Amino acid sequence: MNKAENEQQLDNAKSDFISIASHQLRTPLTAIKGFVSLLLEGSYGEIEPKQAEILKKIYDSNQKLVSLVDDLLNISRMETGRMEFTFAPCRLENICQEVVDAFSVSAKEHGLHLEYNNPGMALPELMIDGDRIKEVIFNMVDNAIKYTPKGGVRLKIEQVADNIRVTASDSGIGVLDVEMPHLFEKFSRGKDTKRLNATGIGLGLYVGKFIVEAHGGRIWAESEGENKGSRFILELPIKSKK
Amino acid sequence: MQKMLIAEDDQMLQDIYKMKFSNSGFEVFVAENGKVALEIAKKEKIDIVLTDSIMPEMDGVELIRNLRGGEYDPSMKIIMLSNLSQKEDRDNVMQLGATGFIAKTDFTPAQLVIEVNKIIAA
Repeated sequence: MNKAENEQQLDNAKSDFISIASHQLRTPLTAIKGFVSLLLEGSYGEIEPKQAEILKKIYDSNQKLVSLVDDLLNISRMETGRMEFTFAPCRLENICQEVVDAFSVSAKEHGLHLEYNNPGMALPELMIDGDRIKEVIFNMVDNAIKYTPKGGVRLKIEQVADNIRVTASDSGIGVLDVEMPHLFEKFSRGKDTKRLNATGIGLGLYVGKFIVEAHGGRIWAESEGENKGSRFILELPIKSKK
Repeated sequence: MQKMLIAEDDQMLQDIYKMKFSNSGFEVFVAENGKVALEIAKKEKIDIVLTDSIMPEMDGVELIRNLRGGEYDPSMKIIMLSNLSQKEDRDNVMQLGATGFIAKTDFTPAQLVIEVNKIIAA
């Protein structure tokens, strides 16, 4: 066995481990989600509003853990070439609408305006893996909300030449020049934790870039600098290279 | 009342599903693996089976293979509840004759009841 094969085998073993560990992690997380939901529904008797509030926090924290585990699973799939895509005709404007709807409550809780600019006309259908692309847009909006202490977040969809472009722009903390080149790298989180007071382990954009590139598209970020907001832009070709 | 058999090795998930589906009008039987599930299916006229995928002794795939092997009522609905949500896992299970496939982490127990009802009504 040569060195490259050896390394490949080691890589596979590592990813198998992550994959198994992720499945094992999901079981207790599912149980926590289940019990907390039952408590909230009143299946074990009535609960006080304050107790409900705390339970909601436990539920939300658990959901964060679930998505971290999902990210780890995605990474292990990506790195062993086992991430699959199911391409089907999709309307990206509907996916954007679903993402905006999903965040309407959380934006309000953060005191932020969340706006959706759709083109007001049907855009061409795309041959994409709708679930995966939704994950990417979801992550773009989630980041925008996380890194915007005040002001707002806007999601915009438009046709630009032969592409459909989705832009998530915010009035948040912006991206520093030193951070910009590393944004889409694995485990890239800004090191300045005081500035970036947010959760996450820095996998979302890394996975997102992989997904978008598998569709023949591209994703990038723009920012005028610290506290001047940022734009995350995703473009998918109308004629898919599937 | 419809008879539901739940095969799930995690005690906590077993408790959650048993409570939720009993409260939703099913007569619920539980098993901690596929082997025990088969024994119950021999004795009771089960209408719906919900099975986990990874279980000791006999896993969900093996359970479905047995349930669809000819000895059991072919009209029995079988739904896999799994944390394996890749397309290949789903396809594999559906080919074996499952009625449906649900990624369990995605749903709260109340949502799960709705999903299961949707699948058995289809």
